[in-house]
Amino acid sequence: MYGYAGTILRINLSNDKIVKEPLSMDFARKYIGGSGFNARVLYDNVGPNVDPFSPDNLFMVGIGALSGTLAPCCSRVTFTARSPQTGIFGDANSGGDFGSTVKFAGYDQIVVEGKAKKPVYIWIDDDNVEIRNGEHLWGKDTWETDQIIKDEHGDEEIRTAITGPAGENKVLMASIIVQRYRAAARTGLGAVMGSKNLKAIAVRGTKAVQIAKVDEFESLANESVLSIMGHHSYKRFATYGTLDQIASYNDMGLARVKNGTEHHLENLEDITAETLEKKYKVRSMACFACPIHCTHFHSIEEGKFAGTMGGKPELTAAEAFGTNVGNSDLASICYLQDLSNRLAIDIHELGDVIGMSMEWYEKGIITKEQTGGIELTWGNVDAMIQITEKIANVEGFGRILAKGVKGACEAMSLTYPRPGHIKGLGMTYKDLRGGKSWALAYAVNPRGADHLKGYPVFEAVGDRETAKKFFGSENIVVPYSDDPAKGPMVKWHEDFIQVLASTGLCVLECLFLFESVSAKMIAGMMSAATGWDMSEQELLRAGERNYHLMKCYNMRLGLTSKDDTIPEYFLKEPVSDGPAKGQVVRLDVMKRAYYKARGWDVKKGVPSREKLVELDLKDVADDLEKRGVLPKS
Amino acid sequence: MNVDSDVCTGCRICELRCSLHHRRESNPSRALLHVVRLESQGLFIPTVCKHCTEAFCISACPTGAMYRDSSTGAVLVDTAKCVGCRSCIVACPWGLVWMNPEGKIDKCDLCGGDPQCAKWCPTEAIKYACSDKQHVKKMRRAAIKDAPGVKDKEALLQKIYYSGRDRILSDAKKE
Repeated sequence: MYGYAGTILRINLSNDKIVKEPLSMDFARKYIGGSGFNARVLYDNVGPNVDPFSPDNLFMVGIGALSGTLAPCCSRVTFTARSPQTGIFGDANSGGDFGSTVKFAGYDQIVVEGKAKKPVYIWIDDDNVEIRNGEHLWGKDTWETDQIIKDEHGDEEIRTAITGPAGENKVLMASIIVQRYRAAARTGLGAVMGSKNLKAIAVRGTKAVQIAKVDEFESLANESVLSIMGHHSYKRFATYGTLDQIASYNDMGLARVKNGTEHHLENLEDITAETLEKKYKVRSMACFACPIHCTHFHSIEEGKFAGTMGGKPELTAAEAFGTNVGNSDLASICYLQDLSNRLAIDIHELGDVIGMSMEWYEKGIITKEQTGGIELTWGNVDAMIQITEKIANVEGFGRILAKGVKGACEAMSLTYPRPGHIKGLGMTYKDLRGGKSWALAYAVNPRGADHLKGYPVFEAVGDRETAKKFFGSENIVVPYSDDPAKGPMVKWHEDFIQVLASTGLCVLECLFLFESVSAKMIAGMMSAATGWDMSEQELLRAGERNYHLMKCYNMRLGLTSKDDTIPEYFLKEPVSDGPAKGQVVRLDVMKRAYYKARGWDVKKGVPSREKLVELDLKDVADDLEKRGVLPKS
Repeated sequence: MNVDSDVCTGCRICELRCSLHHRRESNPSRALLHVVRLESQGLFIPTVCKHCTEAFCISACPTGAMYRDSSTGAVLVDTAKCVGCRSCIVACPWGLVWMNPEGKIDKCDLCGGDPQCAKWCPTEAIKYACSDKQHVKKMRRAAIKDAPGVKDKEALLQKIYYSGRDRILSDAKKE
């Protein structure tokens, strides 16, 4: 077996059955790995009648095809289930070296079904797989759990994926925390773990991943490493990570300040990546096999938050607990991030509901009685800490906010416009009027409001020359342009991101450092690792196929082109201040161009039978036709 | 071999390079060096054979199987002479000699003079260089870090942090 570990691990928590199935090479080549494997298994096994919290929902861990090899940052892992938060396709992705460790233990995918009678955790030690008692872990935060498991097995180098109290309490925004400070957070998959009484998956892997053509693989790995390290953005990105974007997003008007009521944060320099590095950095840290080390370990020595330490806040944490709530105290942002990781709460959604409830409070829509005495004023750090704990424990006002942006508005009987949601998922503090390709990518994203399915960061980091050469139009990087060229550009990003998520590579290294690892290089590495002869076209086609699986999953649930939209205020209200002043999103123009680039029915926004057959998904087309959701050709 | 855990990022590229070079497979657990990882403290410590001047393993070996290579200075095992008595394993204070599942003594051999772990380390946490000069760099960084009133402290420290990248790129150019 070359490239792959060769085994799929199926665990049924209801009857304690553990089955190891050989990986079919036809299946592997068609869906590549990671997110692709998961999407296909979800489509086949979790139908429209399966409630996300039912034992029949599957909880899957997908390992990238290149995980465990020298391919740079190959260890990203995808968790997939039907999302309890949105009710539609749900997945979340994380870095670290959990993914490669599962592969070294001998598995390409873990599929968990059923529900344990009492709390358990899954222990994988190469061939030995056990469902172990987890009652002593229940109620513990993710960091405590991680330590208890490591102590139990006497090995500090065990890798864990854990959910915290929020997941146990089935909070709809519960996340999965991998190795303490890496989060697979979106779409509430921690709650799926909680619903199955599954506290954690812990793994030790000591086996090999065999490479078919070692010399060829090594030279391709060399090429990709040199390309990354030679990229003009490498030094900056390796020093500051994604947090570096906080300034440029602010300059573009993409940042939402105080729940979008403003567009510029005073004292922004207090929470930039440079400030963080100067004040709290201990040392750089990297994911498995990644030369970039975009994150670092931080430690706060003095002040109110002394003792806080962990992985540094990335862009989303600084937005969630900084710009979006009008807070510029960096130490508190670090603390709140660590707190959310310990409790296993999705920082995106948490920042959204805190920002939203602060606006309600400031405007008198909710009172101090309703919040249980918590003063949700802009930038009130203590209030944020209290409300975060209350959300995880589903207590008091936290009971309402734990439902997420959409659920909280419904629970309050409010049709409040800001921040809004897409397909049930909160907006993640982007003002889409400030970055038009983001608006399109968010609208068509199969998992809802989120940037990581069609991350069009090229609009922010790209230059005109590359735009013209690669995408055929300079307008892609023209600020605030809603040029139709953004349609095919977002499509390309979506397909390429599926390639990355199924091979286990990283969106940041490949898109921030644009073309540093190209589809051609990845296809080369896939070929050398597996011994196949895989072309760039075949690989991108597999990415496109995997993207369609997510889309078709949602089609089967009845989602249509109407769901591919963004909150109304982005479409109708011009921005009142800041760099993007006067901008609105003309979504329809871009959306039509996008559907056209996808080869879909432009009006209905869904693929035709021909398109699905072309992608070798005839069985999916048959299924959708039987259910009457495929347009008649 | 010089190790500086203060700049190790825990990426384990060294383990991968080592296993690919020596085993022709991707398997960090069979690498001839190991990165000790303490996640809770964000601390990663590469452990790699020091090829001691007065090597404990050589002194302990009763058959003369453990010897020093005259060209690279590496401490190596002559498998023909090795009887598998494990004296070297007991003698090594750092746990960097062990018996592999095939029943042979395993240890770092400096890849014949071009150690792959050091060659591809992005931050020079592992560096193959004369250790007499190597400490100067460490000393400089510690001094800059601790001293009050140093201007452009971050820029100065960064120059030290990223020398790994510059070296890898310039080596690639040469080749």
